[in-house]
Amino acid sequence: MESQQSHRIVLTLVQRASDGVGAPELADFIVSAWQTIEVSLTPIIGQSSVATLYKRSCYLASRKHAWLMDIHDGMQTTMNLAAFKTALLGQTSTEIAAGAGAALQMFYEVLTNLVGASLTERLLQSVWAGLLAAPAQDKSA
Amino acid sequence: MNNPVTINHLSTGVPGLDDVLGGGLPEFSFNLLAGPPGCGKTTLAHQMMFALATPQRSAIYFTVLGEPPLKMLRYQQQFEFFDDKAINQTVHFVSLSDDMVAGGLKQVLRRIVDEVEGRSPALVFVDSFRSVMQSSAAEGKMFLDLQHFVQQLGMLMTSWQATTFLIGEYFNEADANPVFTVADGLIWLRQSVQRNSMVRKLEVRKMRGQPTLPGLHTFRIDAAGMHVFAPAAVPGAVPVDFAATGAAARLGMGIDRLDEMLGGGLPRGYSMLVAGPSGSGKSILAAAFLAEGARCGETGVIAAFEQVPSLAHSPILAELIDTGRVGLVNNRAPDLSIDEILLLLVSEVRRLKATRVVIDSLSGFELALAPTFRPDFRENLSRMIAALATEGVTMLMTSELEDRYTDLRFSPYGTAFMTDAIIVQRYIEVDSRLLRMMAVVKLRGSAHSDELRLFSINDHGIQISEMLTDQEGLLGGRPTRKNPRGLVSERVGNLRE
Repeated sequence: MESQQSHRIVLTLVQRASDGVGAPELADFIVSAWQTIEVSLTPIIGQSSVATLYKRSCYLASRKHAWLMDIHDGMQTTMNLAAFKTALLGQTSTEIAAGAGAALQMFYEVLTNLVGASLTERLLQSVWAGLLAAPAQDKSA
Repeated sequence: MNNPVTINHLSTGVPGLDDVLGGGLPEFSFNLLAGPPGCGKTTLAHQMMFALATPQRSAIYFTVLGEPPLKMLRYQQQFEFFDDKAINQTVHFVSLSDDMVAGGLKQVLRRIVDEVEGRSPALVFVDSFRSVMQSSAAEGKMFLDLQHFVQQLGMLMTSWQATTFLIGEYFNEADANPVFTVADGLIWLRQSVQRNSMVRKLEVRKMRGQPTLPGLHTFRIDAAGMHVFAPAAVPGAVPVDFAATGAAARLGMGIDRLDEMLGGGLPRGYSMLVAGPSGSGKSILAAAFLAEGARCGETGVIAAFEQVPSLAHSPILAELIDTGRVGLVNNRAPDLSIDEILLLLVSEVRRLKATRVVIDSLSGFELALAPTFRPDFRENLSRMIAALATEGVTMLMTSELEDRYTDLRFSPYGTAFMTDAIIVQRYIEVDSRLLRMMAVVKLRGSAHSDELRLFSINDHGIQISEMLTDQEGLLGGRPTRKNPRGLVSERVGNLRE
């Protein structure tokens, strides 16, 4: 059930891309999602833990989306979202949605593996609320 | 007029801990949970936090440099007390590891103050504290810095009306550590290792203004969390007034002729020791005692440390257990403590309103205990008997006793004096047969038989028969037939002269 939810993230982003949302808008949206993650989790597990989980998620997603590999070279103690955004803007809308969606899904799954589905759900409540609800409303507006 | 402030006490949610603390945790106290790694500090802190936190009384759990929070959340949620619905609602986790790296103790303190001012929690946990001390030691001014930090923290938290817990690893408890002075409460957790056994122990070294229970108290950590086995209070061992309850003064033993030998049965509230060699029929006697209770509408409890009593050789007992007329305490957990067993027994006794308790056997009981408790077995057993006596039960304990034909002993523990009644069983050899005999050797405050009676065991249990009046030297194991001409009486006659 929980993995269905993480799968919905990918579907939502892909839907947005196919609806013709431009790369810059999509990139902004994804970056703001990561910012929400950072804000929600840093106080609880610390900045470097969040950065490490972020890096791990990008690494796992880069198996299918190799361009994600380039953005996390070296040791990171903070999430470098500026570099991430630059990398996003080098891709098409469709690839942004697929790659970044996969990274977000991986993040969700890695965290679920570590602390369980219900706690992950609780910790990331605000993130998914924004991710899954906002696009549909934006589109209809 | 002196009008002292009323100190509220918080119930910790850890079974047994409130008793050891002397009635719970004083509100707004500043406490230290200390002990070596793996002794259960973080578990204790989490269990108390989830029990204490409510919407009106929220908690902040600060993690400094100890266990990474992600791991802590991963492992702590395995416990039943962990409630993820409480997180970000009544319980807030705050990681201070980045602050520690960036600005040391000063910044940690500032962050704690900011968070506490922002959220006004009633409960504050700081985990872990040794890391704080070590890092300040690295700065070369450990005591000044640390003392300042702890004093500031203590003062701030008390002013902000937060009950505070510092969780720390301290290897040297003899250290004149400033934290010990500042703290209102000092709870020390230990792992006592002897031979291959490990026993967890807790000590409340300090709790201002509270009558704590001194000494080391064993505890266990399982899926439900921590469980402290507080020693049973024995308030001057007030004897239960059975006359007032209208119950029969003496209990039947369920064996023909045995009640007669006991002068009419075992007085209610007594403790009896049945001692004898292996296979002499002690467990059968104990089962008969419980069955007789059930027949009279009483319930019982058996603590079985021998074979599981549902086996074929005691179908009556198995049936009593199945039908709920006898409660079974059959804890095979390793490293048991007497307090743990006593707690199990007392809760079964109360649950079933039991009047009869059997411990089968003391020898098995001693073996079930962790080695660390064995040297104090007698003291603990005496305490246990006293505690059960205040529950108003009549107790029967069996004890394996190697047959020694050179001396007359009743118990391998020197426990004979603790009990009110003793029945001894022995093997004797008569006409190339191994026979059993039984005698009542002690029955406090009551007349009883002094006869050595033969008994046998058949499908209906123990059958007591006559004395072997034509034999003498029974206690030596190899009796001889008396001189038919009546040598004995002659000798008695001589003595009289």
